[in-house]
Amino acid sequence: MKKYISIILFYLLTVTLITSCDYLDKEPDDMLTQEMVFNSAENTKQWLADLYNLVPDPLWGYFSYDYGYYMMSDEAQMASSLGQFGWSDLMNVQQGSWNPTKLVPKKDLWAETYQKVRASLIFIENVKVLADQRQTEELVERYKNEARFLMAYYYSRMLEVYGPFPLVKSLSDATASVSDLKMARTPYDEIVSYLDNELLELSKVLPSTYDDVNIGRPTSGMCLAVRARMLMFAASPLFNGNPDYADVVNKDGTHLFNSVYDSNKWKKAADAAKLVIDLPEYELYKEYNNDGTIDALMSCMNVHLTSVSENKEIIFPFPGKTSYYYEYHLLPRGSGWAGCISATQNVVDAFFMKNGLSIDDAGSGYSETGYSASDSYYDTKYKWGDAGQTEGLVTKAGTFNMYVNREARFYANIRFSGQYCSFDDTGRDLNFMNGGEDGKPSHDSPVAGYQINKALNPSCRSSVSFPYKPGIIIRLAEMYLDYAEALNEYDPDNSDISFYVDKVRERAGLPGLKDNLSQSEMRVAIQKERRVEYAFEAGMRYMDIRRWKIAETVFQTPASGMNTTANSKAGYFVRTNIQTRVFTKKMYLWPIYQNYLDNNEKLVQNKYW
Amino acid sequence: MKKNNGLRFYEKIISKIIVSGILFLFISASAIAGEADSNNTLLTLKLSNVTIRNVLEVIEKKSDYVFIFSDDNLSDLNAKVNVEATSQPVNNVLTDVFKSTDLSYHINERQITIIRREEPVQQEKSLKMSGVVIDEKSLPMIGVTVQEIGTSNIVVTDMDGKFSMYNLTYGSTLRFSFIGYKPQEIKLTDQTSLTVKMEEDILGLGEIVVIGYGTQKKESLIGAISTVKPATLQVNQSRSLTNALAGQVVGVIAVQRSGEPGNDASDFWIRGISSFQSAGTTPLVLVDGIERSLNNISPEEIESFSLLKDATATAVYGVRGANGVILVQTKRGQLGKPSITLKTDYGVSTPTQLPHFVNGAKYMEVMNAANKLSGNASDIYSPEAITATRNGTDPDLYPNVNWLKEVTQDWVTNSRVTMDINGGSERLRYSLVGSYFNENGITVTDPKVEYDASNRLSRYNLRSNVDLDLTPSTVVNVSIGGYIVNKNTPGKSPTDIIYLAFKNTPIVHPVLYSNGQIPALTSQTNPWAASTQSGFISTYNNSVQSTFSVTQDIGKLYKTVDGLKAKGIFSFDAYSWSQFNRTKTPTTYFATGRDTDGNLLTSITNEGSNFLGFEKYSGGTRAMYIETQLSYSHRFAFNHQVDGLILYNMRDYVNADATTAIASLPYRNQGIAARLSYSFRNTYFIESNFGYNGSENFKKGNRWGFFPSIAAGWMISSEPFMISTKDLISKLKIRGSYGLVGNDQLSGRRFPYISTIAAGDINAGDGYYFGVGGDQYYAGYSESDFGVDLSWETVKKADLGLELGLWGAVNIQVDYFHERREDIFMQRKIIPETAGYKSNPWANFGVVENQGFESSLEINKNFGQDFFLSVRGNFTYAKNKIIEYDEAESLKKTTRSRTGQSVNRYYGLTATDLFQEEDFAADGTLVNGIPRHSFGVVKPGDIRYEDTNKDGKIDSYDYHPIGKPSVPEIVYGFGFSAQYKDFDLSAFFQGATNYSIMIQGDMLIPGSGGGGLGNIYSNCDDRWDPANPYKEKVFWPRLSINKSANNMLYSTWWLKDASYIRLKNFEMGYTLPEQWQKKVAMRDARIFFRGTNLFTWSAFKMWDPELGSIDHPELGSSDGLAYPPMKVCSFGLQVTF
Repeated sequence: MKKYISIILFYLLTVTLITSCDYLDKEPDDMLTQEMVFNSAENTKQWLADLYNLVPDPLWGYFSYDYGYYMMSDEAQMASSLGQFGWSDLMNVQQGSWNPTKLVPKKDLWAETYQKVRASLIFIENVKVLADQRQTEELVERYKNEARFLMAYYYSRMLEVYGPFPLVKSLSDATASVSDLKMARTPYDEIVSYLDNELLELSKVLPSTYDDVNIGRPTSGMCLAVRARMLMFAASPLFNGNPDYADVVNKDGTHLFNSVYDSNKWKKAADAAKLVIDLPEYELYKEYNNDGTIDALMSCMNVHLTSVSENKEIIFPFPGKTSYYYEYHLLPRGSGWAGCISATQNVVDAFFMKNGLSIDDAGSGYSETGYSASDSYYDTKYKWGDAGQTEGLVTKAGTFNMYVNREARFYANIRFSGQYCSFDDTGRDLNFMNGGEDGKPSHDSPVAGYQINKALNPSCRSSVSFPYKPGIIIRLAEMYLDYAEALNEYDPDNSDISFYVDKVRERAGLPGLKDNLSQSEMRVAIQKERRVEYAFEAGMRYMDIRRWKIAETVFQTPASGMNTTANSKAGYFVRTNIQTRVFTKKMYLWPIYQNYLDNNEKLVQNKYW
Repeated sequence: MKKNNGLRFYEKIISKIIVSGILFLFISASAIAGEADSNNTLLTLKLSNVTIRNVLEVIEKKSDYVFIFSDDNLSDLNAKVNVEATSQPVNNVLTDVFKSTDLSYHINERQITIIRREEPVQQEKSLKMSGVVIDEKSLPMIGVTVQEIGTSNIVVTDMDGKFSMYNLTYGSTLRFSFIGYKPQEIKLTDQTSLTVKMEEDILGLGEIVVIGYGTQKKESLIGAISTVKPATLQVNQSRSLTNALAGQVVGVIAVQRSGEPGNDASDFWIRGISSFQSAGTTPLVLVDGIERSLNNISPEEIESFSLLKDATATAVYGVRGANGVILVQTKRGQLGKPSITLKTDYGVSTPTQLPHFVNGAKYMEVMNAANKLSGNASDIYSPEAITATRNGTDPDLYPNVNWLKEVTQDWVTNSRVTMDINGGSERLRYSLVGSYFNENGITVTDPKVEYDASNRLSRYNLRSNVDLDLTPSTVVNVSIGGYIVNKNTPGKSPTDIIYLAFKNTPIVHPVLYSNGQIPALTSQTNPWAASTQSGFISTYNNSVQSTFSVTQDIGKLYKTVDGLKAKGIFSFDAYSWSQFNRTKTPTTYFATGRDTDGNLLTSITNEGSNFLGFEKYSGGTRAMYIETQLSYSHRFAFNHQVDGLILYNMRDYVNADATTAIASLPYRNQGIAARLSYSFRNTYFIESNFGYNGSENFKKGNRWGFFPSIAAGWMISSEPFMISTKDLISKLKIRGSYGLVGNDQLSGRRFPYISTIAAGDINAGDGYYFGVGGDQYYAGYSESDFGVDLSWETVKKADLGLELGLWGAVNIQVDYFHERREDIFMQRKIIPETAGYKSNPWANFGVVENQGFESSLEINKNFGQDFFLSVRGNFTYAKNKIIEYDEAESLKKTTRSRTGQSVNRYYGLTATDLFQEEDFAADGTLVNGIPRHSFGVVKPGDIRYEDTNKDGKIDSYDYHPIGKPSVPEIVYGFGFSAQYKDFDLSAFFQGATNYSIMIQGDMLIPGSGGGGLGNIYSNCDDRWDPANPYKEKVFWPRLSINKSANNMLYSTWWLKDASYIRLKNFEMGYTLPEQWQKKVAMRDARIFFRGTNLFTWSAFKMWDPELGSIDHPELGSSDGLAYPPMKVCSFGLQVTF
């Protein structure tokens, strides 16, 4: 017996000693290291791809609380019940409750930009020629330029919403002390001129097109378009001699904003836009009727549904699949979606009549009473006006007159109650009234009684079909309107102004602008055109009302819609205020997150926050 | 042959062993190795005129025998003899050799001890003794161990307290021992029968306490160690033992945050929290010396429960000891005839407290009021709709549902059965405990559904401990324990279901439409359907725990090293779980109205699944542990007690639930621990412990840490000058300790010295698409964690304790403690975001101090024969403070700084009162002089805050620490147990204070759910009302239809005192009369009623205060909308055969 004990004890001891020597030398083998990434062409591509990750999904990204651009403009309103799904901070912003302790919108554009900048700088420093893996010197140069473009693009986006920020141009040393890492904000003009040079330089070295598998990488056109958009901001009242910001200084006294208006900035902006316009790669997307005339309605719808290879209007595509949440929140409940995001009456009113006049212009033919007596046909191949798919039928008899004889872009952008619903197979009409399939009392209904129709394919079917559509970050029409706007500010007599605005109107099936508009009339005309052409797109409305410094005025008009608590036509088609928005001066620029200020005493908060 | 001086030789060896520490097993192994066939060795010798020593030398050479003798016998051994033997056994040879001397010999295995003949080795054992053992009430005591000291002659008293012993040696001593009683020693004289009266050891001085890697007499303890009688834990009716700790165990801070079966374990800390990290604050739990969980041990399996708190008690655990250690010893077999104890109870449980919400009509009225107060003109709900809802005329279209009532049952049953078999002989002792535990959850089921979606949990525990004396000096212990847990829940977790019931409005839709369709909104879940129509989930947890240990009492082999023991332990534990999800989503509809015939018009909102799906998940853990130790305990010259220990251990733990390659690597620890203690006259004590540990988590060179401690104690009451006051001060001891312990647990990071590259995850939205149609996807690589060379967290612990016993009946213990945790792992906070780190580097940075005191009081008193009363109470106070935290210097100067504040402190604004009409100018702005409230729009009825920094503006710079921490600083418990004749009654109250909760939520304020979600609390009328704006002390500020940015801030308005006290345990029992019991050979037969959480008192009324505020990050809220703790009442029976 004792023999066994000794054997056991001896065994225990042996096991102990044998295993104990390197017992703790347990560490992950074969972990991917940074060195391994840049020694492999495939891994290098992966790192590069990650740098792109902050390019936004321009549809759902801008709609949702990630960026919140639409909810912070006067174009759209969400159902109040979205509050518990993360939207409540954004709802508060609509009412003026916004403070630096919360990240609203939720996308931390500030910090994530710096993360991408760091990753890009690491990339540029480490990427190398790997000839045996077909990573040639030429390719490495292009890769580096892609990374540089992304940094410039991300910075330009930060500039739009935050104004000046600390411009990081080089990789910080890992051993640097915390105090060395703290940076003050760089003056606005300095950032603009840095990005201007950078983008211009890149436009000369990056290719003008890519093969099919590489679409989405920066082209020279993208560089120039991003640059043009940035220079438009720089020339606009918000950043060009804005007296409000004259006293914004860093702690060392450096002024962060220019305080003197410089009309030459408009010239720079105009030239920048013109540079893009003159590129041979791009042209407006147009579809034609059989008789050779422009099919305005199909052109305006399909510019958002046609992929890059057949759509030469797209300059900066978001090539990935845009989030299906876009469809989910924008399409009607009665067809199986949530349908809880609504367009406002404010934007509905902005669309022109078919004859090119605004609804309040004399002779526009606009009416807010009664219902149409007959079907209304347009010169188009559009076939979603009724269950019979009648080509050219846009509004059926019995449509509320407010929606009759509006311009093509109205129908491309807005869905209203009583309109034929193409999103299921029941052949029904949309019904946003209380008790209707798509209306209240469910909160999955549009509070203002309108749904957004932009970039939504009529053949979407709930949980069955989500046809591909491109996300468009920049398209050519913006350059036309930018050019016209900038030109009008420093050279109002230039004939290019109406020439380019009319190009956009022509595609929308509208006659050209009246002749001999004064500079300010032209300004108003261009602003109206931008609003309509870019409704629910690119966050343009939110950017423009800030850029033009008119947001406080704009929001004096309450957000309104139809009376969605009513369950009869008579009760429903009545203008009803939804919400009086609050926009205060501080809101022109987003607040810098309190944590970042706490960590870095050199950082100064935006004014009025 | 051990020349000259065998004893000294061995002593040298022993000292070397102690010093070298590791190799001792070779020695103990060789000490007993090679004895093969020794008794059969035959010797052939022919020697003439040699000394006896020469003879012995020759015999040693020729055989495996070893001779042991002392210097005193040298002269005899030098005598010359002649020897002639042919194939003789050794005893024949020796008898022949020694016949002419005064020497004799004693063969023990292969050792032969040479002794003087006048010391008779084997005296004839002829004495017989019988007797009875009684207690202070003169009742017979069963199971008292009677041992003839120095022998293995042991018996146990029978049911009448009687014992008989044979073969006793004249003049030897009998020792009578029984747990909880003072041992008695009686020297045998001529008598043949004895009556022994055992005295209860109320001060517990003789109690053996389980300490780190050993045991110690309570009297000589100088570390801060508290023990709990298993009986106090056994009244716990909850699945997890952790729920029994709060208030019962001095030094434990515990809170139970959920009552869901299977997820109801408490969070607990020893002496509070001394770190702001989430990992590395929970105590190390060792069951039978092996790291194991406390959650699924049956209380009946426990023999002892110790809590090691200060550095001297925990230093041996080194890097694992920073948060204190809990030692649980499972039941071991006791000498005696088999005894079988059966215990069963059966009862009902019901939630302690559920929130109350308004009904549908009230809901609509309040929503309308909130809508008005938000500045909207129209009503949300028409008067007709409200009336229809109130009258219930059309529940399909105007529902009025109490969701909580619809998804919960009022009460559910639970039951427990345990069986305990115990017994043993001198050579083999065994304990077998089996138990069954069953509880049901409160979610409802639908009898029409074919599958079983009920929420229930059953657990089967089995543990067997066998101690086998292989030889008189070798004990082998085999312990095998295990459990299986079977859990069934609906397809959605009960916690989610309860939560859904809280957040759905009473008017959203009915439970079920009258046409049988299940209602739900597109983006929402019907709580009732979640409970009854979502399929079910079965979870199976299996655990096997095994320990094998061998203890060799070397001292028994070699008298000279009396007290030296070697022990080896090998253990492996395996835990596995698997989960089968048979879930489905029901097809749901939403009613929009009625057609002209009055039929309900509905439209489909969610296309559900037709049948139950199937998904399987599984995982588990596995641990292996090896320990070898050498311990020494000896009393020299009566007054000097020396104890020593040195051990080596290693542990390997694999987590099969790992989701990353890094987490899948084994977790390893390795270390040496040692203890040396000395006491003089049982009055002065000094002890030193250390641990030297390594962990794989750190870089080579930083892996090993040394954690020493020192402690001293003085038992004043044992001093001669205290003898006169012995009756009053029966015990007085002061003790103190100081030392270091460590922590190697980081939250969220392993191998922090390695920089990692993260691969993108398509589901997390990582990566990017290129190409026409977005078909070229790259998941992407990016920098993840930044490698930093980290090392231990070190905790410096000091403890000062006083133990006082009065009148032999009152026991008081007070401890003051101070801990300072340094080099806390933290992710750097102040690296500016412009540096661009995705995840900031880690550092050994913070410092937290934690101090407090704890005390316990116990009074045990007999009043005459029939009445016994015991009162006990304990109190733990722990307050921590952040000394160093990574904050910008500029921030440290502000009120928002965390430095200098306690870890779980709330930061917020001071709410002074509510705004009134007169505070506003005509244009709606605040009148001059009132600080601008910048968080959001303010209107009359909104909360007014104090401008803490006096800058004329209420903003984030006004935040300051408010209230008490979210984890109680004080946890206490008190209770009594009384026994009168056969009746017993006990009650135990537990409370917590210095404890705040912050209620928050997008939907908290009535109306702020916007009508979509969010129920309204029934106290909604206690609100600011424009009709009566100056009403004092309202609960709710101005209602709003959306979350109010100004009102819904962390502020003193929402900070609630969550102090509570509850009747945690209550028990009433009746022991059946003895004569009845005897007839059926039973004893201790008792019936009882038992209750847990019967009553709760708290200033906070909205939900059970112990839940605190549960975070629902997706809603940005923290509230009490969770599965509440349960109130349990049961009847039971206990009987021993």
